[in-house]
Amino acid sequence: MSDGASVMHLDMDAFFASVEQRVNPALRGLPIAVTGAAKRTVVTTSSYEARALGVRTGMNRFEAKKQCPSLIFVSGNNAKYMDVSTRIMEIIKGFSPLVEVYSIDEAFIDISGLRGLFGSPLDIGRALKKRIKEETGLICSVGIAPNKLMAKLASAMDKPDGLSILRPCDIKAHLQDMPVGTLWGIGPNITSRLGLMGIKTCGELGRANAGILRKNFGIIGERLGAMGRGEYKDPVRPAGFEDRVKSIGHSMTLPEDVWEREKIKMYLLKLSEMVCARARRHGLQGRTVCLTLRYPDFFTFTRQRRLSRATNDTHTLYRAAKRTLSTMRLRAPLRLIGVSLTGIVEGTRQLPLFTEDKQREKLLAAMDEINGRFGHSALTWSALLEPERTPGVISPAWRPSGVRKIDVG
Amino acid sequence: MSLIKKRKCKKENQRVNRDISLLNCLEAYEGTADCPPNKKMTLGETTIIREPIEVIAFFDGSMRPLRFRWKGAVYKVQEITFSWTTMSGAASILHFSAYDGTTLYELSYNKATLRWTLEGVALHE
Ligand SMILES: [Mg+2]
Repeated sequence: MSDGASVMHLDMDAFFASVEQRVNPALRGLPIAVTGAAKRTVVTTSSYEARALGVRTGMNRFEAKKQCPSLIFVSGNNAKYMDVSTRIMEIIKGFSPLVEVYSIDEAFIDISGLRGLFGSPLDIGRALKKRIKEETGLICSVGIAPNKLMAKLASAMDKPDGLSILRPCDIKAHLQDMPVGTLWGIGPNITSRLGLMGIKTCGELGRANAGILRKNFGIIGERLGAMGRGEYKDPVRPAGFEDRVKSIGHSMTLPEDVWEREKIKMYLLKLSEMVCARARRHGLQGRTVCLTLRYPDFFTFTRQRRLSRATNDTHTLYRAAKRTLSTMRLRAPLRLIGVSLTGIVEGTRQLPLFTEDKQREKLLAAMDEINGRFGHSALTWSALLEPERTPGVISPAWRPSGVRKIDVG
Repeated sequence: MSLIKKRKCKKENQRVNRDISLLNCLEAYEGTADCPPNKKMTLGETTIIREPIEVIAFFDGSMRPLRFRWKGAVYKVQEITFSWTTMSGAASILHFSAYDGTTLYELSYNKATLRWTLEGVALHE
């Protein structure tokens, strides 16, 4: 496209909080904070009224209330957000089939072929915002740019209810003095390492010597340099065009921090069951088990265990996860637990050698079928029943459909 | 007192009586997950009810609940502020946030069983 405006990034504004304010008119215009399930104390999203008073995502109830005494807490409802998200993504797909659903409230849209249909990129952005507002009552911010990295930056430029365009000729000036950490994908870790090299702004990053970047960051060095110049090659990847699945995982933020090993094991079993059910549905098996744990201070770590053969059997995965847990000494209760299968192989179902294995495969297939018919976890291992009653918080990696929380690349 | 004033007064009294009965009803539900016992409900909190209700709804391609009866009292819906769908097995459940000007109710309709449920109530003050 001549003006290079080929990618659009759409980001719902204060998504969970805005939904709750639509739902309950009494909350409109007030500082509200959406927290997870009943006992969860961390703010997942706050309304713009609350943000203006200093409330931030990740604060606990106490900190948030101290910052803003008039703050109103609302417990979140994941099913509601997922349904709205799916509706929004359907609206977007009505404009372009090339939509990459990036998270529950964000999407990238390839608009390079749409010019003749809906007018200029800004016209498309305006039309999309209007449709979403009409159908859901919610507002979003849209950024338009030559690539995903710049579109993501543009959508954040004029929040809330923004519509911004970054043209190729403006990018250099825009990035010149911008801190590197503002760029999507450059986290605190890389930021501090770049800082040690004397690189603080995108301008400096873009001009940095490629050899030195490569020496410090290996293969991503060159990519970082390009990012500093606003260059980004990854195309918009619509569902179904994603890279082959490399891992299947589920994680849960627990309704309350958990110390007891028995309870942790119960969550491990539930997560193993969720992961394996999904793997079985997609005909996949995994060779390595990853256990991810998070402490209340958000310190997160992962341990892996390689299995003797690829599996999607709940008991095998659960046993491996349990064994991994038993080798660890925990310094604090757990806030989040995640289980994933990596080293994914397709359709390499080994013929079960033992009758016990055969029976279990039959049982698993039957369980999957009944769960599909009667709702999630209608039938499950008996030890699962307790955590089922207290649903955890949705993972930020949640997507409306397909194999979720896929790690690609 | 004029007739109009009398009517207005009667309506207000009805409303107050209904609100009192609602409060009494809700008291029985304190102690649910969202509202621990001995704690006054505050704005933003929902009391979980999950009880069957009778509903009068408007059908016209889509569906909109107009009023519902719970524990003998009738509640008139002023506005459906939001609606969403969830699945329970193969059955889809329609959820409605119904606002009556002071209180927010969450109603649900199971498309397979054709039954309505009062899921919860969020009081305003
Ligand atoms: Mg957002």
